[in-house]
Amino acid sequence: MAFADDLNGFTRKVNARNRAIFIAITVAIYASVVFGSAITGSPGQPVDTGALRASWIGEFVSAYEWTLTTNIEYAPIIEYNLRGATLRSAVGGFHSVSLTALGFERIVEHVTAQAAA
Amino acid sequence: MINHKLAQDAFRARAESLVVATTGSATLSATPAGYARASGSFVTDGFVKGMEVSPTAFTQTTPGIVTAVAPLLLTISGGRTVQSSGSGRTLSVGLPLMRAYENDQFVADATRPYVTEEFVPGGTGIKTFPRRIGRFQEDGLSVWSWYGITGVGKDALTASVDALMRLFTPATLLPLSDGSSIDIPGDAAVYRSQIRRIESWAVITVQIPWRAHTRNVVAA
Repeated sequence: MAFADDLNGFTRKVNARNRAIFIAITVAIYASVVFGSAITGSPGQPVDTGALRASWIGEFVSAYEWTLTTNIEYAPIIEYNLRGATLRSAVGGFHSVSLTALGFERIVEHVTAQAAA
Repeated sequence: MINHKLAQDAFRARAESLVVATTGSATLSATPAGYARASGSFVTDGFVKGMEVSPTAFTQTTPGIVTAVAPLLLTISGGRTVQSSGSGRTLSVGLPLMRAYENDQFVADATRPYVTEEFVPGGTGIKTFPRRIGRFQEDGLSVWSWYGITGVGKDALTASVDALMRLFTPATLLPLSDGSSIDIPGDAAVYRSQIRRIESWAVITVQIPWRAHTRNVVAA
């Protein structure tokens, strides 16, 4: 049964690697939206009281499903730069979610390259 | 690396070419209520309540806000200076004439729609070897927020924004004067928000992803 054992071992290894890559992608997405990212060019959330930055919650809905949400009412105003807001924060900016979504393939490339290294 | 000034100019130029609704060159008159025609149809031409109409070849050149649309009569807020029927005239709706371009001085007029524009560079990276002369890819967003008049229904904003989005469908190529170009990708295509109420405005935001490839150049 050695070959069957080898095959099962390989399957477990692949599944574990896939899971690790998936988790690493969620971490990279969270970082991009909240703190900014050189991978996506996202500026991250601006900081005044810290409420917006702290409000972003990542949650695993299932083994391969993850959501990132905020319950801050003014989050869309910051995201889309409505009202032509003047930033008073030294960090962060607008369109972080959009830039993260746009750069999703870059995130995947980066994470898988790191996993292969 | 792409020339960001030229890239932003290219987006602006394409958006400024927008035609949402137009009579084309037609025989039109100006009445106390608005504009009138003996043939054709303002409804078929795509005019809806809430749009800002720009007249051409009329004595009165100020834009006007449409308050009602009938096939042969376009009612304008505040009416129009009367002018008898004449050929070669045009009524059209395009990108709002009130434009809050990045870092420009701008004061909104509560009675007129306006747009804001942002050029948002995103992620970059080398895609081919060797890096020194490799293919440099940049992504980014061109973001347009269309501020419409509240209380006039959805049609003016929706029709206008849909027309703007159709100018930037996937595979649209914006050539720049230095020979490079901006590509509208297909894996992340143009999209819009719902109508949001922001202060005294009804707003739709359009996000146009873009991608550019240039040959990397290492400075001396």
